[in-house]
Formats: sequence, C-alpha cells, structure tokens
Amino acid sequence: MILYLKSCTEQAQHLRKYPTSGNWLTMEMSGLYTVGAVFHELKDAAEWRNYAIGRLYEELDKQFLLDGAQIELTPGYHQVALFNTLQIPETANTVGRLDELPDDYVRKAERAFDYNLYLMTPDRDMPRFNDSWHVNVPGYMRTAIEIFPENRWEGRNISFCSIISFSLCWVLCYALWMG
Amino acid sequence: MQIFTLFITAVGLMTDNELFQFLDLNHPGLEEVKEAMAKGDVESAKKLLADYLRNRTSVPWGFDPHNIDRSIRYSKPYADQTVAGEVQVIGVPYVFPNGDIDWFYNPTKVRDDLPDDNEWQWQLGRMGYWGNLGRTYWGTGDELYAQTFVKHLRSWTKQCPRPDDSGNYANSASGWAAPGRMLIIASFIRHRSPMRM
Repeated sequence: MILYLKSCTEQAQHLRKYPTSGNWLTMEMSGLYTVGAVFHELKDAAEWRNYAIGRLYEELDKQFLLDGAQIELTPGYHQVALFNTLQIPETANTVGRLDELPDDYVRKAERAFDYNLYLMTPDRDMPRFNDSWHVNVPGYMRTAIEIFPENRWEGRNISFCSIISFSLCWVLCYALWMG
Repeated sequence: MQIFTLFITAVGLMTDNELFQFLDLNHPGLEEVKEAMAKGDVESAKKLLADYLRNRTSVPWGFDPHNIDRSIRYSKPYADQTVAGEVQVIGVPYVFPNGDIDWFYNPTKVRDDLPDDNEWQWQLGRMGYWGNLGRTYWGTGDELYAQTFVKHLRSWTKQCPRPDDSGNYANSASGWAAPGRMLIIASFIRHRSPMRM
C-alpha cells in the first residue's frame, strides 16, 4: 500500500513536471488528475487536479478541430484523446468533485463524437488511416448518448442515406456516405 | 537487464520520510500518523497510514472491499498466464522464467526472425494484464493473484526508478527510453485501473 502510494506520488510529480502534447498529454493529465483525486491527502493533490483540468479544458479547443477531429488526424488517437479527456469528469463524478470543473468542460467534447459518426464505415468501424485500429462506433455513440442525453444524433439514420458527403474542412478530407 | 541502463541516471524511489513530507498530515483522519511522525516513529506512521487508506470512505470504489460481490467477469486462464509470466505483446509471445518480469527485456531485439520493435517493451510496461489480474482476484478471492500484482509492482518500482529528466527518448532502442515513455503514457492507464477493476 505504501509502495503504491509512493509510486503514484512520484509518477504524478513526473507528469506535472514533464507534460508533453497531443494524445499523450490527455493520458498524462488524466493520470495526474486521478492521483490527485484518489490521494487527496497529498499536499499537491488539489494543484494537480486543477492543473490537469485546466490543461485539458484548453486542449479541448486546441486538439479538437471545429469539425470534431482530433488534431493528429488518426481515428485511433482520436478515441484515446477523447476518452482520456472525458475520464476526468467521470472520475470527478465518482469522487464528488464535479464542481471543480468548468461548466462547459464536457460540452466542448461533443463535436468529437460528430467526427466518429461522420467517418463511420458501413461495418460501423472507422477508416484505419495513420496509426489506427478497430473503432466500435456504435459503442462510442452509446456512450455519447449517456453523456449528452438530448441525443442530437438520433434520426440521422445514416444507414439509409443515399449519397451524402461531408466536407470535413478542418481535416482536409471528405467522408463519402453511400448506402 | 540490458547494459544500456548502466548509462542512465535515475532518481531512486522516495524514502519513507520523503513520502510523509509530501502528505498533508493535518488532513482529517491522519492525526495518529502525524503523532507517530512527531515521535520519529516512521514504522508506526506507515502502518497507521496504510490502515487509514484501507478504511477511509472519502474515495468510493466500484465495489465494497469489505463485502465483496464476486459476480464479475474475468478470465482465470489469462490470469494464470500472467502469474506464470506468460505474456503476449503486440502479437509476440514470451515467457519470463519463474514469472519474474524483466521490464527491460524485449524479445524483438533478440530474435533474428523479428524486426526490432521498441513497441514490445512499451506495451509490456502498460500492464494491460493487471485489469484481468485484479478482476480474477476479485472474482476468486485467491491471494495468488494479489500477490502477483504486488510482485509486479515491487519489481517495476525497483527496476524502473523515475528518470531525472522527461525520459522520453523516442529513438532510443532500450535503456530508459521504454520505461521513460511508459512512465508517462502508462501512468494514466495504471492510475485509472483501481477504480475500474
């Protein structure tokens, strides 16, 4: 128990001192926040939580382009960045610290789910360009609906679109839907 | 351990006294810990701190550790492989003798039939097998799985002390590059798992 606490403390200190960028940063800040939330008895815990929240709140605007794509333009990393970012409010909710987050923190992530829907392939996956892997889009959209219960995606009925194409101008690519 | 590690500077694991300096001993619930430290009784302070952490209710868990519902999905065969040191990383299997993981070992550097791939070492250090190990302990109550987690934690903290810089050497073939990168990326993965297990 003490060894685990020591290791978590050291890793949090390391993450606080050497933050990087891109999807890595989202992992780092999610980890930093978690240590600050779980071990709130540490002197630096509140500062770590606030720093992690602040960095990812900024990153929501920096990393997710206006059409929702994560800036590394990799469907795999997109999910990594999105769900690491949303891990903070999830953990905050678990430990009763949601009031430490800006009111619009979660709302800023909404357009990232648009990107998943726009790029969904007929087999409900996403194109595997750059460093990507299987993406269970329906599964992620179910999560989206839990987070955003007003569900503005319902009724898009994308399975039966004849031909609809979206110009993802910030990504500089086209998603062509055929069905 | 590969020879490259000899040239890497690292900071050793913090001492007990350092840990207590990082703690807010005025935090409610830590009164006895503070008292023990005031007397210079570090061993008692550690025991009291561990008791506090085991019994506090300020951080809820996804389960009640004092009244465990064992209805959880887990893979015992996979957990048994982890105990035995059998891993499969990016599709390349390897068995660590006696279940003792060498966090610096990378079979792709050794086998002629495989291209060198740092990813093997990095992915090993993400401890993707810990989640199932924890769930299997939860589901079976078999201490072997908890002991294996402790064994891994002890060996990792001993073999992979934090570097005294960022530790992110993307092109380094071995040595501190992998644990350094692991430290940063996998910190999240390791830290989030307790509440998700």
